[in-house]
Amino acid sequence: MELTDRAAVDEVLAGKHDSFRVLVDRHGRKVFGLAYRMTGNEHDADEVVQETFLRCYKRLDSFEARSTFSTWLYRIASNCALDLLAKRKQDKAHIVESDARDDDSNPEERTLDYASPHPGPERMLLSSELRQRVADAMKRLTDVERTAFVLRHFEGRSIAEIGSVLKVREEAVKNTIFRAVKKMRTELEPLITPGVMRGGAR
Amino acid sequence: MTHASEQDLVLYFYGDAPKPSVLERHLAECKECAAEFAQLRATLSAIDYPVPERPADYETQLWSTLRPRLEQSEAPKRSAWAALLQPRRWAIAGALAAIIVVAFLAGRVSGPKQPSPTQVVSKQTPSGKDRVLMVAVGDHLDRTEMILVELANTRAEGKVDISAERDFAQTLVNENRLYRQTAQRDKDPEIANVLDQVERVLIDIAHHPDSVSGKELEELQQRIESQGVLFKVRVIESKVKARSRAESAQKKSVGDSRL
Repeated sequence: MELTDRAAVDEVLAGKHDSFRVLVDRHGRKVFGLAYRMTGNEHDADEVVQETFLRCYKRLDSFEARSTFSTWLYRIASNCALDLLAKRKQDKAHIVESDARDDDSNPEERTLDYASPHPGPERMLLSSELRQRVADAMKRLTDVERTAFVLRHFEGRSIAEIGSVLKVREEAVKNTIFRAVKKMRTELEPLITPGVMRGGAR
Repeated sequence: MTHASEQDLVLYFYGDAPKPSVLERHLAECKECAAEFAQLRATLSAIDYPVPERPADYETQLWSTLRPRLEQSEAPKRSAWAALLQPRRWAIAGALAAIIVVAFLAGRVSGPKQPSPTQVVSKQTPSGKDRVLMVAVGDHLDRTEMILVELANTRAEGKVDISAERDFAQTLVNENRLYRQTAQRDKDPEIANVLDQVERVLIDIAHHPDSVSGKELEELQQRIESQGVLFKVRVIESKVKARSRAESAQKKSVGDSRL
């Protein structure tokens, strides 16, 4: 029989450290998906995945029955992604400071390197322009707005869960999601009319 | 109802509206809101951000890079920190500390019927119970120092997870209260004062959420620093330890002299 998450946690804590692999196998891809959408590139997402499982392992003894393992792991992953975004911002700020003369692009624009998502059969519906616009619009959200939006829109996490990730009340989560949606609409609405997707630019 | 707000419609789209049936009825009647919702739904439905496919052996790759890093880090539950921070163990440690304090207080109230040999030899030195208490307070200050150092050295940037320190502080608050009350009853104002300050700082830490912003952490660090609590803890800790050492040396020499 397959080990449940909780049983795997108990085994690791009892000294059977390789049982941690069950958790990595089961949740690795999902954590990558979340990390990719939050950071916007594969390299950073890989780093977030590593850091998430490392942090999770170190703190495994503080995992309690308060939440499911996946909710707990998502919380760690979201915080790891937020930490990395903050770190990237700081790194970029240093670079911008040191070679300001060589670079006249807006530092804000450079804080997140959102790659165009790879095309695939299921993505043919989206025009490449729309995809790029989504990536650009996501880039313009604040880290907190992006976290809330990614968790609600793509990951389907509840308002309460997002509140526990961001350490804010549910009302604040709703407001944050609303702000994010408003910004996304401003960027994307010119491309979209109900039922029809305009191919052209605004 | 009046027209639905944009926020109402966003909540409704994600299934978070408090009264979806009321909104549904309104959308059926109000063309304006229905059109607005159709536009919102079209836009939100079109927002996709596909995640690049991972290779079939992604999990194996992930595990092979992760495993050596996990091995380098201390295994959960085995590490000293993990053991210290583990709530269950703390409950036991707290209970033990409480028993020591209660036993100590009980001893004070009933008082020794006959002076012990130690007291006969040296009326100035505290009893063995005092020594036990001093050791316990010393250990407590040790742990307090650890958490203060940990917090002081945490870099205040981005979101900082202080849940471990916060949980630790919560346990220390209860312990601290016992020791402070004992020190006050014991007319030991020096220790009582420092423990009083420590308690306020610990309560401050214990009231924080799991993670704080860099700014909040900085403020907390400044509060700790401005009160000089860490310094006071170190001073009193070394005094307490010196006292418990002196007492055990005293006891040893008393024991030796009786041979």
